Amino acid sequence: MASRPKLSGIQKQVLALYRGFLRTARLKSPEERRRIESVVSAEFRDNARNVDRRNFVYIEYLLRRGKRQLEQLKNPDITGLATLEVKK
Amino acid sequence: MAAAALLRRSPAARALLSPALSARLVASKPHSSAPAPPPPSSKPAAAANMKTFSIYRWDPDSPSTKPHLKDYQVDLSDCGPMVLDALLKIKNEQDPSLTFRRSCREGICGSCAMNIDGDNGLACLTKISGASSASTVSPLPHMFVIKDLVVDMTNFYSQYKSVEPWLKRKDPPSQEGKEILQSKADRAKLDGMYECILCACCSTSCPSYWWNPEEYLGPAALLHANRLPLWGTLIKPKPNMFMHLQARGYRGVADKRNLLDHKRRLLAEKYELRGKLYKAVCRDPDLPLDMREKFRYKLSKLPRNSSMTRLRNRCIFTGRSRAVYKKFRMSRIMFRTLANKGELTGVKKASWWIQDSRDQFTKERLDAINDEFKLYRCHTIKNCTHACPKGLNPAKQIDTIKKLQIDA
Repeated sequence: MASRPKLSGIQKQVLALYRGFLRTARLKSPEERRRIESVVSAEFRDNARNVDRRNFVYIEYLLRRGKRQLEQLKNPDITGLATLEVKK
Repeated sequence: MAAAALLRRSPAARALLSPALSARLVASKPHSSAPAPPPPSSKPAAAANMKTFSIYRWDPDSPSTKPHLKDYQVDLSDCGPMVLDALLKIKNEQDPSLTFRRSCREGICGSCAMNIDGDNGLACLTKISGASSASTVSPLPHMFVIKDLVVDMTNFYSQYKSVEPWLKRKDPPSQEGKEILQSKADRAKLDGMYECILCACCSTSCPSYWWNPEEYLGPAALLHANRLPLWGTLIKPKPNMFMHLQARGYRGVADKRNLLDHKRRLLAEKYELRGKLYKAVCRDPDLPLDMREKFRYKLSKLPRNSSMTRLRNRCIFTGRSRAVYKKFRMSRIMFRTLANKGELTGVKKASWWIQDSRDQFTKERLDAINDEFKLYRCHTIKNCTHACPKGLNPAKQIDTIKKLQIDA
């Protein structure tokens, strides 16, 4: 597997966040679950490609933002997640 | 309308006004029904009072840029007196992407808290210092920045929540469905704490909070912790002391002095009757002298420790011979200790200030923060008092809590 090499602390945090999202998605309804998974994985993949891995400030910012969004998603009253494209 | 009002003044008052001024005023608007004359152009010819503001900028959407200070020039003669006015002016006229929190513009909401020229404060209450020097505006120190001057307050709010900032009672109010009453004096105790608007200026100015933001609660949360509780008991009652005492009766404490005193009491009891008898015989003037002599001899032969005068009411816990109160059988020190714990039924401190007399969960609240990190990270640095835009004194409240912790 390519992920064998020793992961740094920040990489572990990112993976833990991803795992957290997937686990939370499991608790929602099936089609919501698929939507959450697609949104989240798309975002993570985009950032993984575009963000320079040495840019710790930005990565930590994204982690904090992600954690907060995860906390909100964990709330049982929240049914799903949606994204909008904003044209700049 | 103002001119019309002035006209109605007495001639003496009018005479006081400078002739030029009064002439101008008399000339304009004699009648309120007449159309208002155009306001006199008072602005002095563009004395452009420019001031430089260096504002911290960071945009998360362009991740490659590092946080930096950007300079903006503001004409102070065309701007309100407060820093918030300047920020809004910059946002409106120069750079719409400048992001900051604001709401009430009157210093009551606490949204616009930021660091201005090195001191934390509310932008809507901080006057712009003067055109001569440049001002630096940056977000609250040692807080994660979300964008420009907006910081992440989640940790701060969760600490406030952890203090459980609501009234808790064990028994319902004295009159069902009515408010819990409080005397004016009790309500006065809350002054200095209820005004807190949770702007976070104090907590973010505390170096101790910078180094331990997760564990140390910070002056704001502690101020609110102090606002609620406050009565007596701090440490959980140790069961040993009492059980020990109750199980063994008076001789509860294995204190040498108490044991000896106990021995004396036993002996006194044993020889009581005899002693009294002998003494009575000795003192009786009607009896023959030799008989009295004999009994006096017998009295002197009684063991020394059977004398009542040798008994001393000692403190049952510590064996202290002085300052022992008969009613409680303990010395003043133990009395105070146990009374503060609440272990003496019916004993309450007379003029004890209760922060909020309506809250009954003092002990639990104090226990909850009686922790090396939550409370004791405070080293009385006093930056919080200096920073508070409402003029409150969180350091004093923290001091109060610490004193209460000691008192038990």
